[in-house]
Amino acid sequence: MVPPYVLAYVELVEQEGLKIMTNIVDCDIDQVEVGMAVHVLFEQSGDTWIPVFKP
Amino acid sequence: MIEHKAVISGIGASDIGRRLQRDPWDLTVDAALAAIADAGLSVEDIDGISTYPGAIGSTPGITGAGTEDVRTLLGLKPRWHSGGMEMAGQLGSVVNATLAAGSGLVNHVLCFRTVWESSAQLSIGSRSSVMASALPREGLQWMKPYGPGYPTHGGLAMQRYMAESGATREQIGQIAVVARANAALNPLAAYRDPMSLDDYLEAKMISDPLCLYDCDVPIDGSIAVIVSRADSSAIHRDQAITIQAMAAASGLEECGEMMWARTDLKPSDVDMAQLYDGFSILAIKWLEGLRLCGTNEAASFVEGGTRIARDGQLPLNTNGGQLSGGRMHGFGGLYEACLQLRGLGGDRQIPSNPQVAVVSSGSDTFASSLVLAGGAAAQ
Repeated sequence: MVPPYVLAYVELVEQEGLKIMTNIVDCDIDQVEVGMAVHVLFEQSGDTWIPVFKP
Repeated sequence: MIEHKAVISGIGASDIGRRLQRDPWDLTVDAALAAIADAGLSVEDIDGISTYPGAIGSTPGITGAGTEDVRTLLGLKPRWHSGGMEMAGQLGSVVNATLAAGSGLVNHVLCFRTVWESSAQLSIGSRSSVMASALPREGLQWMKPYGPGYPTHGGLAMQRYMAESGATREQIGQIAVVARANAALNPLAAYRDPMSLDDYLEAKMISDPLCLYDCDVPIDGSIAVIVSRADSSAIHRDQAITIQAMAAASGLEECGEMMWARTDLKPSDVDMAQLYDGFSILAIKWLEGLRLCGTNEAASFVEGGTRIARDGQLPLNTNGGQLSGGRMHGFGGLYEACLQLRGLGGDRQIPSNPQVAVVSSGSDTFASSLVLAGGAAAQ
């Protein structure tokens, strides 16, 4: 991947304690902070859909 | 406690440095023979071998010899050996040796750690993507699409710590700045040129907020220690380092809890700390995990650097740590603690001549630590 990109752990509202590694996308990366609310979207990569999150 | 039935009777080190391009078996033999001689023993006396991780497939240069290699190279006739990747922290190998010697399974255990990452990276490159791709692990499929590397794990930990504690880069950076000042006094340290806090703050960003000088430096070298039964008549008892408490646990806080439950000594009795600093933030986490600082208070404690300097209240990583001394992967701090407790620190000897040390290795769910004593406190 080409920097800059935002690597993050996101905890799911639907299941407390379940944390997944992901990227935060579609935003000003300087505005991303710990505790920020985000929601999922899926980006296609070949025949796979990768879950990423945006504010 | 079983710790009182074993001692560290000898220590040894090979050449340590960048790009040595020496056979890691040679480095291992040099360190082992030095430690055996330092203990007053001969090769025939060694009946146990303990290491981390040993001869396994991993990132290039991260391991230089296994127990079987050492048995063959030195002509040992061990009764017991231990090694592997999944023990709780690199010093888990010393904990295992202490359990074996303290329980009477063996008399004298050769513990060693050999690395040659610096030379290995000459041919394969040092970018984290290269390193990560050498580790085929099932779990990686859930992370790899997002671009993680070793430094991003440090960056995430630092990011979260700063958000939770209010710590600043200026505070955490003192771990690196003080380490560099100590390394200037260590002839075997990898990076010895002066480094100011401004140099730290202006360094290349690797994984925000983790910068170049928050990352330890790959080196080549081997360190060995001998763990002997405390009742052995063959060792130099007056120079032996005693193990007041040990822990090998599945987390830093668990490690601290386990360790302090095994001794009457308290965090306030500690004269120096040699804490694992693969990233600066790990030393901060260890200060708190081993209760040398309160939760979210370690960054304030190290602010300005004076408290953790060699003449401060808690000298930290007095050989330069892994950040400037070099990545001996847990065993550098152990060796330094033993040197300082025996008064052999040379130009960097802590002026107050410490008698109680804490040493740690690992991170996250992979942790081990020791309380060591020398001088009058060792009796």
